[in-house]
Amino acid sequence: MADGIPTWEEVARDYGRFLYTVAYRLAGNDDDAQDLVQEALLRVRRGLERYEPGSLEGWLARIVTNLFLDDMRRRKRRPTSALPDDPDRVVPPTPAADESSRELPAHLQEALAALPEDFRVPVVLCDVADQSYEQIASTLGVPVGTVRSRIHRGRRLLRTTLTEGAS
Amino acid sequence: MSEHELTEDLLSAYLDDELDAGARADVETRLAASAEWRTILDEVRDTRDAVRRLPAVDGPTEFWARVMADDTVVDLASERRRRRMPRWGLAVAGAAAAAVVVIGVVAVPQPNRVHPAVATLSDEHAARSSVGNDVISSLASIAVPTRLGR
Amino acid sequence: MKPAGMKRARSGTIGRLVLIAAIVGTACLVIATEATAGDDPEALLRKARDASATANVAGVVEVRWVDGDQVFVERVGARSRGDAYVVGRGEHVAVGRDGMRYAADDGVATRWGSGDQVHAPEPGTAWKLEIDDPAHVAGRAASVVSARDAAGRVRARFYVDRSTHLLLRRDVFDRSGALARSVRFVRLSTGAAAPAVPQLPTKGSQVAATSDVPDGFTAPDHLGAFRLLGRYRHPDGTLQLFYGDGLFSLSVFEQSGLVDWDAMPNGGRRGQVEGQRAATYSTAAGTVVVWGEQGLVLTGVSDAPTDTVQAVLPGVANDNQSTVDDVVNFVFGPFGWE
Repeated sequence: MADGIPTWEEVARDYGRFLYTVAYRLAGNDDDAQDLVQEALLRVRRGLERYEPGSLEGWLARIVTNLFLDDMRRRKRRPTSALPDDPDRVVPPTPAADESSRELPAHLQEALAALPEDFRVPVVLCDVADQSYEQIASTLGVPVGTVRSRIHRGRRLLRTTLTEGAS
Repeated sequence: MSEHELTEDLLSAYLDDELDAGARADVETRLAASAEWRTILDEVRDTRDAVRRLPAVDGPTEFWARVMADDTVVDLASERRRRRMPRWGLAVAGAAAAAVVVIGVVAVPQPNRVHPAVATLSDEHAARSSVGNDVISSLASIAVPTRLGR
Repeated sequence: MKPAGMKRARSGTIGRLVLIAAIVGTACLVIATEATAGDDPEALLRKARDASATANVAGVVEVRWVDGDQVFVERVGARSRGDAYVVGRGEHVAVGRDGMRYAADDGVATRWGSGDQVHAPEPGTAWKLEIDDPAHVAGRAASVVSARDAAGRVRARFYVDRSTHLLLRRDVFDRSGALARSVRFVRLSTGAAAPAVPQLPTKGSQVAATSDVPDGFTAPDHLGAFRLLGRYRHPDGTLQLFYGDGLFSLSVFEQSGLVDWDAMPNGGRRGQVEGQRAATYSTAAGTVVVWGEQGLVLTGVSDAPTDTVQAVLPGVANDNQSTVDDVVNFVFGPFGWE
């Protein structure tokens, strides 16, 4: 590493697992994760000369996230629905008291992959890539308040999906 | 916390330590008074911690071997085709693995990167607008200096 | 008049030149009918449009626009006689002559040809127009026409000189009623001498009217209430589609490629168009939105209210989509675009 800038090989070797984990949690399967990681490493190779030493993981998370979102748009080719304003439209009312178990069933990855990407991406960036709300806002090009809202609603929706799946 | 409404959305930010001192205090006051909020907080904490406990994921060994090979860069398009081949096709491909094609990064066609000249296009539009519409108001927007960025 | 400390975003020793020769003659001295509350607002705006083509004035124009929480105010001199217009001076000059517009940048003049045969819609097609109480602008009595959107909100006002029918002022408002952009005379006199037209560079390139839409490019006939009025091919290959809704105009520039976001100017507000990342800028000419879709880099520029522009842009890459009926399909944060 020279002047705080890693070589491409160092990035692939030292951050490959991080990249793959984020890509996998976003995409939900190995095939797509591998495509994302390969494309991300190509971008890293081209972008290293412009990289300013700082949060390398943040930079890498941003690259793979943007690639994931671009891929989603290409696949969908349909308008994005506006997010519902009312959280009750996303999360059902509070479950009954006898569902007080705090243990979550398995298949968390499946539940995560089933989240709409508008919720999944910020949850993954926060809880998998360990990014701050401000970093996430910068990556997604949205205000911090939007990040806050999506993370919270994403977590609640994830919880509902898991508890409904368990029952 | 005068500028934000005290909504449930703040609970995740509270957990993630993303609130300022004032907002944090407001949330704690509400938590002390609301059993519902405490329940939601517990649920969100459980969910968040479960996601955070998910293990890191390593890609397949052969994947990284190809990526890290000294003078071999995988052609993405070929790689995708390889993965989608049926099993019998994979056997054939395996036999031909020794003849893997070495393709440099530059062989992958890259799209043209464009950054529109915002100020110029703005003036071009105003110039065209001045034909058949009010001339002076359109031309005036061209004559003033364009300022972008802060 | 260039305020001290201002700097131009574009380099070049010669500012943009747009040249028009206008002969006013007695046309503007024809006695104008005083506008009354019973006047047809569309007719009044048409008179203003006609008067613009033969104006004989000298004055100072103030341009004011809002960009986020910043307000920009600039003043420039303006002179016109017959079909010649000179606004600004020195490096910051816009000139028109003989029905053509000349734009020069770095010493190269671009000769602009209209070549359009399609007429713009009538002013009242997309907006509800009505006569408001009269006002004064630059010391001159003016009739006022307001334009309301479907929700009944006033989104624009036009102040038309009662004597000459020249447009003295035009304001555009955002959804909350706050002023978004304004162009107005602050000083004005009629019967001016012909303006001194700057020497035009001899080298030039032409923006050519075209009916060819290259493969991969798109040219919808309508974007909401905006009707396609012309297609132009710029020397660098950029395709420009020009639309009008009777009151406002909209250009969509198309370039082949992907947006190089790292190279875009600072200050753009981030959002999305059709699920694609977009950046919005505010300039003196209007709202500028940049986004990429299907291998095209798209830039929309319009003096219409920003939300109007946002509502129609998704239709650019979806030729078969009814943009009038569709829900606005873009995602924005709590602060929105304005």
